[in-house]
Amino acid sequence: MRNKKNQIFFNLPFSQKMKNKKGVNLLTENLVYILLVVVFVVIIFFAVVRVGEGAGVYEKIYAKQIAYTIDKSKSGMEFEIYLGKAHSIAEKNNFEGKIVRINNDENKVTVNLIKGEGYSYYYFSERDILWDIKDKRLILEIKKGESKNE
Amino acid sequence: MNKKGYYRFADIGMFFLTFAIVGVAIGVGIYAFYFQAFDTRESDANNLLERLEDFLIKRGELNKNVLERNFNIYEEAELNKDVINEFYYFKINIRGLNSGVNKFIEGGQEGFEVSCNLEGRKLPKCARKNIVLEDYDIKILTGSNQGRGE
Repeated sequence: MRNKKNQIFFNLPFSQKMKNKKGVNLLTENLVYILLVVVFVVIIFFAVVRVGEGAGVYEKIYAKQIAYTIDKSKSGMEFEIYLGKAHSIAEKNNFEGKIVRINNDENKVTVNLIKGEGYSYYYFSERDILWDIKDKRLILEIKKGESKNE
Repeated sequence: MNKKGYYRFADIGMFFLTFAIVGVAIGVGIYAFYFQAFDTRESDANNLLERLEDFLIKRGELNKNVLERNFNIYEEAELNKDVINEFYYFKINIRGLNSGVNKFIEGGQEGFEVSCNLEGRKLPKCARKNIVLEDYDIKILTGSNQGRGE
Protein backbone atom coordinates (compact mmCIF):
# COMPACT_ATOMS: atom_id res chain seq x y z
CA MET A 1 0.00 0.00 0.00
CA ARG A 2 1.24 3.46 -0.90
CA ASN A 3 1.31 6.05 1.85
CA LYS A 4 0.05 9.63 1.43
CA LYS A 5 3.45 11.05 0.56
CA ASN A 6 3.96 8.47 -2.19
CA GLN A 7 0.46 9.12 -3.58
CA ILE A 8 1.30 12.81 -3.97
CA PHE A 9 4.57 11.86 -5.70
CA PHE A 10 2.88 9.56 -8.20
CA ASN A 11 0.32 12.23 -9.06
CA LEU A 12 3.05 14.69 -10.03
CA PRO A 13 3.93 15.21 -13.71
CA PHE A 14 7.10 13.41 -14.93
CA SER A 15 9.36 16.46 -14.96
CA GLN A 16 8.40 17.28 -11.35
CA LYS A 17 9.20 13.75 -10.19
CA MET A 18 12.78 14.09 -11.45
CA LYS A 19 13.55 17.09 -9.29
CA ASN A 20 14.95 16.69 -5.80
CA LYS A 21 14.38 19.09 -2.92
CA LYS A 22 17.14 21.44 -4.06
CA GLY A 23 15.65 21.68 -7.50
CA VAL A 24 18.51 19.93 -9.24
CA ASN A 25 17.24 18.09 -12.22
CA LEU A 26 18.63 14.61 -11.70
CA LEU A 27 17.59 13.39 -15.10
CA THR A 28 19.48 16.14 -16.90
CA GLU A 29 22.50 15.70 -14.65
CA ASN A 30 22.67 11.97 -15.27
CA LEU A 31 22.01 12.37 -18.99
CA VAL A 32 24.87 14.84 -19.28
CA TYR A 33 27.10 12.44 -17.37
CA ILE A 34 26.13 9.44 -19.52
CA LEU A 35 26.59 11.51 -22.68
CA LEU A 36 30.06 12.60 -21.62
CA VAL A 37 31.00 9.01 -20.74
CA VAL A 38 29.82 7.84 -24.17
CA VAL A 39 31.80 10.63 -25.88
CA PHE A 40 34.89 9.72 -23.85
CA VAL A 41 34.58 6.01 -24.65
CA VAL A 42 34.12 6.75 -28.36
CA ILE A 43 37.21 9.04 -28.37
CA ILE A 44 39.30 6.36 -26.60
CA PHE A 45 38.02 3.68 -29.01
CA PHE A 46 38.99 5.67 -32.10
CA ALA A 47 42.33 6.63 -30.55
CA VAL A 48 43.17 2.95 -29.93
CA VAL A 49 42.07 1.97 -33.46
CA ARG A 50 44.13 4.83 -34.92
CA VAL A 51 47.24 3.81 -32.98
CA GLY A 52 46.76 0.17 -34.00
CA GLU A 53 46.33 0.99 -37.67
CA GLY A 54 48.78 3.87 -37.71
CA ALA A 55 51.45 4.16 -40.38
CA GLY A 56 54.20 4.18 -37.74
CA VAL A 57 53.16 0.80 -36.40
CA TYR A 58 53.06 -0.80 -39.85
CA GLU A 59 56.38 0.76 -40.85
CA LYS A 60 57.95 -1.04 -37.88
CA ILE A 61 56.17 -4.32 -38.59
CA TYR A 62 57.18 -4.45 -42.27
CA ALA A 63 60.78 -3.27 -41.72
CA LYS A 64 61.38 -5.86 -39.01
CA GLN A 65 59.63 -8.61 -40.95
CA ILE A 66 61.71 -8.00 -44.08
CA ALA A 67 65.00 -7.78 -42.15
CA TYR A 68 64.10 -10.96 -40.25
CA THR A 69 63.30 -12.77 -43.51
CA ILE A 70 66.68 -11.76 -44.97
CA ASP A 71 68.53 -12.92 -41.86
CA LYS A 72 66.69 -16.25 -41.83
CA SER A 73 67.37 -16.92 -45.50
CA LYS A 74 70.21 -18.67 -47.25
CA SER A 75 71.96 -17.59 -50.43
CA GLY A 76 70.01 -18.52 -53.54
CA MET A 77 66.58 -18.25 -51.93
CA GLU A 78 63.74 -16.13 -53.31
CA PHE A 79 60.84 -14.64 -51.36
CA GLU A 80 57.65 -12.74 -52.00
CA ILE A 81 56.13 -10.62 -49.26
CA TYR A 82 52.61 -9.29 -49.74
CA LEU A 83 52.42 -5.56 -49.04
CA GLY A 84 48.68 -5.00 -49.55
CA LYS A 85 48.06 -3.44 -46.15
CA ALA A 86 51.16 -1.24 -46.49
CA HIS A 87 49.97 0.00 -49.89
CA SER A 88 46.50 0.86 -48.59
CA ILE A 89 47.99 2.78 -45.62
CA ALA A 90 50.36 4.66 -47.94
CA GLU A 91 47.45 5.53 -50.25
CA LYS A 92 45.38 6.72 -47.29
CA ASN A 93 48.27 8.98 -46.28
CA ASN A 94 48.79 10.22 -49.88
CA PHE A 95 52.32 8.81 -49.96
CA GLU A 96 53.42 8.08 -53.51
CA GLY A 97 57.11 7.22 -53.07
CA LYS A 98 58.73 3.80 -52.70
CA ILE A 99 57.28 2.15 -49.62
CA VAL A 100 60.21 -0.27 -49.20
CA ARG A 101 63.89 0.42 -49.85
CA ILE A 102 66.76 -1.96 -49.21
CA ASN A 103 70.26 -0.52 -48.98
CA ASN A 104 72.84 -3.24 -49.57
CA ASP A 105 75.75 -1.01 -48.58
CA GLU A 106 74.36 -0.29 -45.14
CA ASN A 107 72.40 -3.56 -44.72
CA LYS A 108 69.33 -1.47 -44.06
CA VAL A 109 65.62 -1.97 -44.77
CA THR A 110 63.58 1.24 -44.74
CA VAL A 111 59.80 1.32 -44.88
CA ASN A 112 57.93 4.57 -45.62
CA LEU A 113 54.15 4.73 -45.42
CA ILE A 114 53.90 8.47 -44.79
CA LYS A 115 56.07 11.43 -45.69
CA GLY A 116 59.18 11.46 -43.53
CA GLU A 117 62.23 9.35 -42.83
CA GLY A 118 60.27 6.13 -42.32
CA TYR A 119 61.46 3.31 -40.10
CA SER A 120 64.76 1.52 -40.70
CA TYR A 121 65.95 -1.85 -39.44
CA TYR A 122 69.31 -3.49 -40.11
CA TYR A 123 69.95 -7.08 -41.12
CA PHE A 124 73.19 -8.67 -39.96
CA SER A 125 73.69 -10.99 -42.93
CA GLU A 126 76.39 -10.16 -45.45
CA ARG A 127 74.23 -10.67 -48.51
CA ASP A 128 73.35 -8.88 -51.70
CA ILE A 129 69.62 -8.46 -51.93
CA LEU A 130 68.02 -8.01 -55.33
CA TRP A 131 64.60 -6.56 -54.75
CA ASP A 132 61.62 -5.22 -56.62
CA ILE A 133 57.98 -4.39 -55.92
CA LYS A 134 55.44 -5.83 -58.36
CA ASP A 135 51.66 -6.03 -57.92
CA LYS A 136 51.87 -5.04 -54.25
CA ARG A 137 54.42 -7.79 -53.63
CA LEU A 138 58.01 -7.35 -52.54
CA ILE A 139 60.22 -9.80 -54.39
CA LEU A 140 63.51 -10.62 -52.69
CA GLU A 141 66.33 -12.56 -54.25
CA ILE A 142 69.12 -13.45 -51.84
CA LYS A 143 72.65 -13.59 -53.27
CA LYS A 144 75.90 -14.35 -51.52
CA GLY A 145 77.31 -10.90 -50.82
CA GLU A 146 80.77 -9.54 -51.38
CA SER A 147 82.23 -9.03 -47.97
CA LYS A 148 82.42 -5.43 -46.81
CA ASN A 149 84.29 -6.52 -43.69
CA GLU A 150 87.88 -5.39 -43.34
CA MET B 1 27.31 14.90 -2.38
CA ASN B 2 23.81 16.34 -1.91
CA LYS B 3 21.30 15.41 0.81
CA LYS B 4 19.90 12.51 -1.20
CA GLY B 5 23.29 10.97 -1.56
CA TYR B 6 23.79 11.68 -5.26
CA TYR B 7 27.23 12.68 -6.45
CA ARG B 8 27.10 15.70 -8.67
CA PHE B 9 29.11 14.29 -11.53
CA ALA B 10 28.28 17.27 -13.68
CA ASP B 11 30.88 19.12 -11.64
CA ILE B 12 33.08 19.79 -14.65
CA GLY B 13 36.48 19.88 -12.95
CA MET B 14 36.02 16.60 -11.15
CA PHE B 15 34.63 15.00 -14.27
CA PHE B 16 37.60 15.87 -16.44
CA LEU B 17 40.07 14.95 -13.72
CA THR B 18 38.50 11.48 -13.45
CA PHE B 19 38.59 10.92 -17.17
CA ALA B 20 42.08 12.33 -17.53
CA ILE B 21 43.28 9.69 -15.05
CA VAL B 22 41.40 6.94 -16.93
CA GLY B 23 42.71 8.26 -20.28
CA VAL B 24 46.32 8.29 -19.10
CA ALA B 25 45.95 4.74 -17.72
CA ILE B 26 44.58 3.53 -21.07
CA GLY B 27 47.36 5.38 -22.94
CA VAL B 28 50.03 3.72 -20.80
CA GLY B 29 48.35 0.36 -21.39
CA ILE B 30 48.36 0.84 -25.17
CA TYR B 31 52.02 1.92 -25.15
CA ALA B 32 53.01 -1.09 -23.03
CA PHE B 33 51.06 -3.43 -25.33
CA TYR B 34 52.69 -2.17 -28.52
CA PHE B 35 56.11 -2.05 -26.85
CA GLN B 36 55.82 -5.76 -26.08
CA ALA B 37 54.32 -6.62 -29.46
CA PHE B 38 57.16 -5.13 -31.50
CA ASP B 39 60.09 -6.12 -29.38
CA THR B 40 61.98 -8.46 -31.70
CA ARG B 41 65.32 -8.40 -29.89
CA GLU B 42 64.93 -11.89 -28.49
CA SER B 43 64.11 -13.38 -31.88
CA ASP B 44 67.01 -11.41 -33.40
CA ALA B 45 69.36 -12.91 -30.80
CA ASN B 46 67.97 -16.40 -31.52
CA ASN B 47 68.36 -15.77 -35.23
CA LEU B 48 72.03 -14.90 -34.81
CA LEU B 49 72.54 -17.92 -32.57
CA GLU B 50 71.03 -20.20 -35.23
CA ARG B 51 73.30 -18.66 -37.87
CA LEU B 52 76.39 -19.34 -35.73
CA GLU B 53 75.21 -22.85 -34.91
CA ASP B 54 74.58 -23.59 -38.60
CA PHE B 55 78.10 -22.67 -39.53
CA LEU B 56 79.77 -24.26 -36.46
CA ILE B 57 78.14 -27.63 -36.97
CA LYS B 58 78.30 -29.15 -40.42
CA ARG B 59 76.67 -32.55 -40.97
CA GLY B 60 76.64 -33.29 -37.29
CA GLU B 61 80.32 -32.52 -36.78
CA LEU B 62 82.20 -29.49 -35.58
CA ASN B 63 83.49 -27.35 -38.45
CA LYS B 64 87.21 -27.76 -37.76
CA ASN B 65 88.06 -24.52 -39.63
CA VAL B 66 86.87 -22.69 -36.55
CA LEU B 67 89.83 -24.00 -34.58
CA GLU B 68 92.36 -22.49 -36.96
CA ARG B 69 94.27 -19.43 -35.85
CA ASN B 70 93.54 -17.07 -38.77
CA PHE B 71 89.88 -17.94 -38.87
CA ASN B 72 87.51 -15.05 -39.73
CA ILE B 73 84.02 -15.67 -38.38
CA TYR B 74 82.48 -12.72 -40.23
CA GLU B 75 83.53 -14.17 -43.59
CA GLU B 76 82.64 -17.75 -42.76
CA ALA B 77 79.24 -17.08 -41.19
CA GLU B 78 78.37 -14.28 -43.67
CA LEU B 79 77.96 -11.61 -41.01
CA ASN B 80 78.23 -7.88 -41.48
CA LYS B 81 80.78 -6.56 -39.01
CA ASP B 82 79.38 -3.01 -38.88
CA VAL B 83 75.85 -4.11 -38.00
CA ILE B 84 77.11 -6.68 -35.49
CA ASN B 85 79.35 -4.09 -33.82
CA GLU B 86 76.50 -1.61 -33.53
CA PHE B 87 73.59 -3.74 -32.38
CA TYR B 88 74.68 -7.29 -31.55
CA TYR B 89 77.02 -9.39 -29.48
CA PHE B 90 78.17 -12.98 -29.77
CA LYS B 91 80.53 -15.20 -27.85
CA ILE B 92 81.55 -18.73 -28.75
CA ASN B 93 83.58 -20.90 -26.44
CA ILE B 94 84.75 -24.29 -27.70
CA ARG B 95 86.44 -26.49 -25.14
CA GLY B 96 87.86 -29.95 -25.75
CA LEU B 97 86.54 -32.47 -23.22
CA ASN B 98 89.56 -34.77 -23.53
CA SER B 99 92.01 -32.39 -25.17
CA GLY B 100 93.56 -29.04 -24.51
CA VAL B 101 91.46 -27.24 -27.11
CA ASN B 102 90.10 -23.96 -25.80
CA LYS B 103 88.92 -21.61 -28.55
CA PHE B 104 87.24 -18.34 -27.72
CA ILE B 105 85.57 -16.10 -30.33
CA GLU B 106 83.80 -12.88 -29.51
CA GLY B 107 82.33 -9.98 -31.51
CA GLY B 108 80.04 -6.97 -31.27
CA GLN B 109 79.16 -4.95 -28.19
CA GLU B 110 81.12 -6.56 -25.39
CA GLY B 111 79.07 -4.85 -22.68
CA PHE B 112 76.09 -7.02 -23.62
CA GLU B 113 77.61 -10.01 -21.85
CA VAL B 114 76.98 -8.33 -18.51
CA SER B 115 73.70 -6.67 -19.56
CA CYS B 116 72.32 -10.05 -20.63
CA ASN B 117 72.11 -11.07 -16.98
CA LEU B 118 70.22 -7.96 -15.97
CA GLU B 119 66.53 -7.08 -16.19
CA GLY B 120 65.58 -3.84 -17.91
CA ARG B 121 63.40 -2.63 -20.74
CA LYS B 122 66.22 -0.90 -22.59
CA LEU B 123 68.79 -3.62 -21.97
CA PRO B 124 69.66 -6.19 -24.65
CA LYS B 125 67.88 -9.52 -24.97
CA CYS B 126 70.01 -12.62 -25.26
CA ALA B 127 69.98 -16.25 -26.30
CA ARG B 128 72.24 -19.06 -25.06
CA LYS B 129 72.94 -22.58 -26.13
CA ASN B 130 75.22 -25.29 -24.85
CA ILE B 131 76.07 -28.14 -27.22
CA VAL B 132 78.17 -31.20 -26.49
CA LEU B 133 79.35 -32.63 -29.79
CA GLU B 134 82.00 -35.27 -30.45
CA ASP B 135 84.74 -34.34 -28.02
CA TYR B 136 83.82 -30.70 -27.67
CA ASP B 137 81.73 -28.60 -25.34
CA ILE B 138 80.40 -25.60 -27.32
CA LYS B 139 78.84 -22.63 -25.56
CA ILE B 140 77.17 -19.89 -27.64
CA LEU B 141 75.82 -16.62 -26.30
CA THR B 142 74.22 -13.97 -28.51
CA GLY B 143 72.53 -10.67 -27.71
CA SER B 144 70.65 -7.98 -29.59
CA ASN B 145 69.60 -4.47 -28.73
CA GLN B 146 68.52 -3.21 -32.13
CA GLY B 147 65.66 -0.72 -31.90
CA ARG B 148 65.76 -1.11 -28.11
CA GLY B 149 62.49 -2.94 -28.40
CA GLU B 150 60.65 -0.13 -30.15
